[in-house]
Amino acid sequence: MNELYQRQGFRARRKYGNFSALNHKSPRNTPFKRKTGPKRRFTQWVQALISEIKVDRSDIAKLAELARIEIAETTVDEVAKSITDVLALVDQLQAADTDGIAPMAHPLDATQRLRADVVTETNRREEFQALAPAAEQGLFLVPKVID
Amino acid sequence: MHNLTIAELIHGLRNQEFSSVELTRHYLDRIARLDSRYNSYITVTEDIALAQAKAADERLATGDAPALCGVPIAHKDIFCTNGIRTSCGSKMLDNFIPPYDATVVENYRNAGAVMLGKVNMDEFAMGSSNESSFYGPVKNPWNTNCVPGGSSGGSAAAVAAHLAPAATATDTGGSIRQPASLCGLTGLKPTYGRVSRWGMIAFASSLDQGGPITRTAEDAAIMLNTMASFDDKDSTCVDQPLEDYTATLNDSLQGLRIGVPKEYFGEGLDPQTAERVQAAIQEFEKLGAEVKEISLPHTDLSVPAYYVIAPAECSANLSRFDGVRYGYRCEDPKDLNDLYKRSRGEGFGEEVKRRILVGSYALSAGYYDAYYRKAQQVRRLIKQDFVDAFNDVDVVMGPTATSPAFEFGAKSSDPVAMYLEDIYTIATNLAGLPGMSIPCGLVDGKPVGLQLIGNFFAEGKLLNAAHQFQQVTDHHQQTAPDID
Repeated sequence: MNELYQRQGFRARRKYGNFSALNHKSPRNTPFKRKTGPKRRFTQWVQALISEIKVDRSDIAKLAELARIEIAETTVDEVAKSITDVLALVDQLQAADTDGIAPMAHPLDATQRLRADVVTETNRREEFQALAPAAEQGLFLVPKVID
Repeated sequence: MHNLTIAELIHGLRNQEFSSVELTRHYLDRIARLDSRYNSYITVTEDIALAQAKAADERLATGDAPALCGVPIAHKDIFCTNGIRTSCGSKMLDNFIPPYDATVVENYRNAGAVMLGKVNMDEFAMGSSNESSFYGPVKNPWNTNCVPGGSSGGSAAAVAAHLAPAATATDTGGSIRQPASLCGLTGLKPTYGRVSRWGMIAFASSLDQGGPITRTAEDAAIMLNTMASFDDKDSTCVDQPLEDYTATLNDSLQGLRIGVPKEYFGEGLDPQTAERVQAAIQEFEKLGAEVKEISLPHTDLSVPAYYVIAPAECSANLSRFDGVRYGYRCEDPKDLNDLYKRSRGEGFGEEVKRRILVGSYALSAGYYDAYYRKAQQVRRLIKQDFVDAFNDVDVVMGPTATSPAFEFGAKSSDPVAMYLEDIYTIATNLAGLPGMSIPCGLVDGKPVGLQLIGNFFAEGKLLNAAHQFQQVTDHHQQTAPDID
């Protein structure tokens, strides 16, 4: 399997010029840098490149902040490794020729259905707020935000 | 009574061979006595079940009985149930008591079904082994050292252990069909939009679809008749006329065109599983079907596309769990950000966090085109493979899973190995097509499943083919050992 996506990744990078690391530049405005390898024999170099799509500890910290999820310090390396593995899997996509293919969001290409602008929901605020960890006088309570 | 199918139970209840209260008590007793072996239930709703059974018996006595009147079923704990804890297999929702019923739950209630309880699942339906549940893994009734599959592992184990005659389930990448395969059951994932997602806790909204897990295709047809509906409250529900799926079960398969994708028999498929699946396809030939090899050339890309699209949608959907309005909140948050981060960090399990992080990565600025847009384009290529195939064939058949049930821990430390478990089922979700798994034999005493994939809204055709197969074979009648 590993060999398979390395091979496909090689084709991908040639096809996918914009995202290619052949120019030794990361795409602009990306929070995570693709690490480029030193110059080697071409094949080795490309393979190394694929295996170096790697998220490290600082990437995990950024992602954890974006997703508002605390990642325990003791598990950061493990999380970084497993996310690197998943990204290596999904990198096979770059092998696909998708020129001129419209992205598909709904299997039947359905569009958003509209409804009449009438009130259909009843006010159930108290029931909903009864589920909250902390609520008072119709408000959800959180730690102080503004001094 | 616990060996009867839904069809037989309906018959027995209407002929007053037994009452719904007797039947329901029988199942509740079995659950209390046996479920410690399997851990298939998270919540048993004994009082509600008995009250519903009593009401059902009254309706049966008057002759005014709806379709499933008095029939006990279990709901996957992803479907919201008014006043009953709905955990989605997560610590995050361990304390969540929904103030409303999912449309699926309402449909079954209106049809007179009795709710036995809420069954176990992988956390937020993310997993293929049921090892990610906050409530502990479910064990496969065929071999309790093995996983039942996932994410609807509790639904499958409960039905396989005869702790429910049928259960609701959901399928985002194979979560109905793979556990049905691993537990020797019939599982149906309908066309995307056929079953309402309202009140079904969202994982990947463009892929999630509810469906039944049963012992026979006939039962699946009966269950789908109630489950399927057009629902204004789900904006992606498709307004397609409802049909009676039992009406076409007995149609002849003479001339049915079956396509067998060569990509589904490649490397990675257990040879004995392949043999059982091929033997099953030959049975269809005996029933008058024509079998031809087809190609679904983008099959290899389905797992990679899925692991961009599903995590991306999951990261958006699960942002609602913030420790503010409902669900888990951490102790003593020092500020709002700390409240969010620790509530989510402590409330979600490892696999859920991994997918949220992968989704956040794929959707982050500068990476959207390379990952999400690319995956959505590949998704169309995968769908087009099927559209082309269905020009020539009526049903596509192949294996549901690569092998029979594997042992606990075999894949849980390697997420990519676990993801590849769904290699034959994921494309169906990406394309939005209906898919089904039916038992087709045993390998080392463990069941394997035959997958049937149909064209859009061709559930009736799949159920018909599966039912005809089950008329001439007995794989679906095999039960797990030690089922008293």
